[in-house]
Amino acid sequence: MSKFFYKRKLDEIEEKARPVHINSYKQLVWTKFKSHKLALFGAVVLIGVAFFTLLGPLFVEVGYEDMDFSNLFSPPLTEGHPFGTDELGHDVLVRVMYGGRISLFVGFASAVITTLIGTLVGLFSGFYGGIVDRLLMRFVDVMLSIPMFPILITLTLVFGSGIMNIILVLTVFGWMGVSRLVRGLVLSIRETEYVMSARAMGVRNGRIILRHVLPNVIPIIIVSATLNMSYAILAESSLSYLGLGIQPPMPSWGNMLQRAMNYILGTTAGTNPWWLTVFPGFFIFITVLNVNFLGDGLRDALDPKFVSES
Amino acid sequence: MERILEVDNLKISFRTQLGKITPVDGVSFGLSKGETLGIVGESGCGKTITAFSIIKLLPKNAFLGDKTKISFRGRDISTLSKEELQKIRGKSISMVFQEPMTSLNPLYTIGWQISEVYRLHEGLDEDDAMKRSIEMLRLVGIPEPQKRVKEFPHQLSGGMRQRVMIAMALACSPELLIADEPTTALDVTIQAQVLELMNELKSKFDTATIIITHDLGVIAEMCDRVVVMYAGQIVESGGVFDIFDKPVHPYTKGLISSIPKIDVAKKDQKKLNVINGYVPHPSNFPEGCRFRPRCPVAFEKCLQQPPVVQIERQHSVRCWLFEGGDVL
Repeated sequence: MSKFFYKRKLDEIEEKARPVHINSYKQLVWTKFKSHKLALFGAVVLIGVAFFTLLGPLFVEVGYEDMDFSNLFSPPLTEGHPFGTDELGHDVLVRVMYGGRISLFVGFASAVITTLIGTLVGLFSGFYGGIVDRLLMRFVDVMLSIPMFPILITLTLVFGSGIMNIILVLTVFGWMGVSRLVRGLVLSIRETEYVMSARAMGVRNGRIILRHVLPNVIPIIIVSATLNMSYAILAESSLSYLGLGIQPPMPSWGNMLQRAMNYILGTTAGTNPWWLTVFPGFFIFITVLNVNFLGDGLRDALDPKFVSES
Repeated sequence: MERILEVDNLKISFRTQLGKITPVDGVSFGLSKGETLGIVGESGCGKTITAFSIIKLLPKNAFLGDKTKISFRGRDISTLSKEELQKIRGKSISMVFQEPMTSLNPLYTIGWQISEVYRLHEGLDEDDAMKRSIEMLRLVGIPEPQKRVKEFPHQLSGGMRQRVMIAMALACSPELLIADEPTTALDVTIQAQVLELMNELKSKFDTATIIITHDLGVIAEMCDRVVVMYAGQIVESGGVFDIFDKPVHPYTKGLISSIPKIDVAKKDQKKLNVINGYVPHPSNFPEGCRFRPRCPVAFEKCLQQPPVVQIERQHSVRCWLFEGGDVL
């Protein structure tokens, strides 16, 4: 190998080794996030899914309720039905788009709300301790001990089922995990020397919570928010399965899967409509997976001590 | 000399599951402008909570005794409101903590953290606060401070971080600096540098300083006066030369003779002197003299509370051996 090659190699190494000038935490987070390929991929896919569900219906003329009686159980790529049709002649592609709106909305909204409530409760409980902590944590225990499904059934009977009710139920019964997680972490952060030293500097409690404690919990909060989002999307499916979730004809990824269960062993006509499960299942799968990729990348990016190789 | 701090009859108790415990009982000392006081003793003898009590940073289950009076520049600390306290902390009284590794928030640049003090206490905007922070970093001997302000704590070494902590503590030129084991977590060479720096800055700002340590070397290097604590009480106090040259309390003697020395290869001394046993737990202080169970010269009288005896003008001791002297 020539000297020239080595020279180039050295230049390359030199180039890579050149220190990056980072002036603020935000810049550091962005730099690290950009270099986290999987997280970037996750973000792109999620944006893609969001566009697909939000803008997709604008480009097709068929509604999610429209039935094409001449095409029942048509396989994918039948004319006019790229993803095929179901037992009533609904277009699967259109239903996946509309269903995605609902599933993503339910997942996102309940993840955000549970995380907010849980974080707030956890911060107060962990930081102030004592009687505040005891009251809040006993309340969490009580909430955890209440079985969700009987209450759910009652609520649906009283208020009817709908998106808002599902979000309500998922948040009312979903924030406790986050609050326990945050509380535990705050308990240890509260005792760290940098919080002590912030106090010794004369920093107010409110500011200590906001500027010194909260930012240190955020990596964990983000991971649990992404897990919550996946959980909410799946929970909506199981609620729909029990007939308590989104009601047909309105589609959601969950209830599409649930209806497809009837044909999992094939139809009376002897065909196996695999497309009814594969398409909504695939979208649930890539959404949940990429939410987790994104969360993973965010957590690494938000921790200034974590600098991966290369 | 102007009296900065007066701690009188400090008694700190905690409500715990084991009932009430009182790890600090009857500690009194004072401090004048520019003076350095060392508080020395083994781990668990109440040094740190004594320091915390001065700026009211004790845990919630702690409370002070009825006769306790802590006054800072003539004002009783216990009468101050929360807001007044927050104004004093970091501005008039500041602290340097033991662990430079964990005393800085890992999420913020060191520039941000120093300028927080300026924004808080002097109402400076971000740019001015940052400029002052750079000045302060230069003062504590950090090379290339303009570059360093943008770095995060984990990018600095232990010694550097302790310098940053000192810069933060001295940012508003406080009247009283409390350093809680400032060098314990550092290498010996770095220790020397940090001590030198503290000495330098102390004379520059004329700051009254309390140094809490179990390292007698640090005391010898830095302090004018020394208070030796054992099990929540002051057992001996005096000028730094009194304590090192003519220690009288058996505990002080024990401490001084248990310093390892390189040149002690004497034939008659093969082992390092140690004080046997441990500091008792506050729930379980012995009756009478608290050092009695470990004291090599204890006698019958030690079952009763020993008197505090003044030996010289500034040298006093809590021990039955000196009963003949002037009882304080």
